[in-house]
Amino acid sequence: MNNYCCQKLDDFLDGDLAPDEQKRFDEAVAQCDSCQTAIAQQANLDAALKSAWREVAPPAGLNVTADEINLPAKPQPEHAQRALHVAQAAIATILAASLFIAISTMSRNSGDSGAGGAATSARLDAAPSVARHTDPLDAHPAVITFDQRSIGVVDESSDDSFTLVRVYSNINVADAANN
Amino acid sequence: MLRIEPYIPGLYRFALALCRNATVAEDLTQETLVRALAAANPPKQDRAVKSWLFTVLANYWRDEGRSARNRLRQTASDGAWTAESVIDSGDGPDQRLIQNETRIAILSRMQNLPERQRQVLYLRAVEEFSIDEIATTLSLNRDAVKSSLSVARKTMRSWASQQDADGRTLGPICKDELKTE
Repeated sequence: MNNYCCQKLDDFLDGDLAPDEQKRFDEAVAQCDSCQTAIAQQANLDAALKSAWREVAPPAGLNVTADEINLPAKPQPEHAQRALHVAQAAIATILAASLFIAISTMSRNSGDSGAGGAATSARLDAAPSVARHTDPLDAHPAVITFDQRSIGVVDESSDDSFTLVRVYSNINVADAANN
Repeated sequence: MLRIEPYIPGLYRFALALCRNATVAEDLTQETLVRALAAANPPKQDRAVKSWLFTVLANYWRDEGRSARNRLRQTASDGAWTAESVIDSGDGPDQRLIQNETRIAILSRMQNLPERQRQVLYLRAVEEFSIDEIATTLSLNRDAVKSSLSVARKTMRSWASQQDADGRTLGPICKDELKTE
């Protein structure tokens, strides 16, 4: 094991020799019977291992699963795109209307309370509720899910002034066929 | 579309090399396929997909393998791996029988190596992964891979020398293999 080739045998088998190392290795191995034997034996073993493992076939069930898995897993982009536009438009309208109502109410209350102005506070629901929307008449219906939170805007200068604003987040559009 | 079907046989064999139990290997492969399907950003290129799938399987075995190992202990005889159970040594031409006996012998010897050595030897010799690919797949550093591979190779060569001395050469299947490559 004192030869250069014996020390570098694993690097050679791993393809880890630099060009100058490879040249030196080739010269050394030409004079080394044990390395020549080891290299031939390792090539034989690797080929035998590959051949033997190829005889090991997976169970049939795994192949069936592969067929199922190779089906398209994602919704058709055009359906998702169209449904997303519908959802975005609807939600933007709802948000704008809610905001308008809230601002109108607060302005009115502020005017009622005089020069001191209104103190307001907002309360958030503890946890969002999740809503789903589907259009059964659509040939490729989409399922739209979103978190829905209610914010109560309270005018603290008045006992009876309370405005409810709904906020929608985590909007998700999926092809109904995949649900 | 993610094409994983061509890699299923290799994944199953790798799982078998890891756990040495046909039932658990099937579960490992199945779980790997499910995880691959659920992945948000799978790789696009074929070679990258292959390496990635083996990484998913190796990670699952490393992270979740404890329950699988417990199951192995509880059901030691259920699906226990033997080379004879996966390679047909029955009817066939004489030459084929000799080849299969050799295959059974070499698989049995490999499956008696320690787990780390089985992993690196399988990925290098059978799947032809580079040292860097093996290191990434098994979350090891390069030196650890090379060290385990070196010991595994020496053990296998020592075994092959003994086989030769006993007159059971590995010749026939190796020659066939080299012709088809």
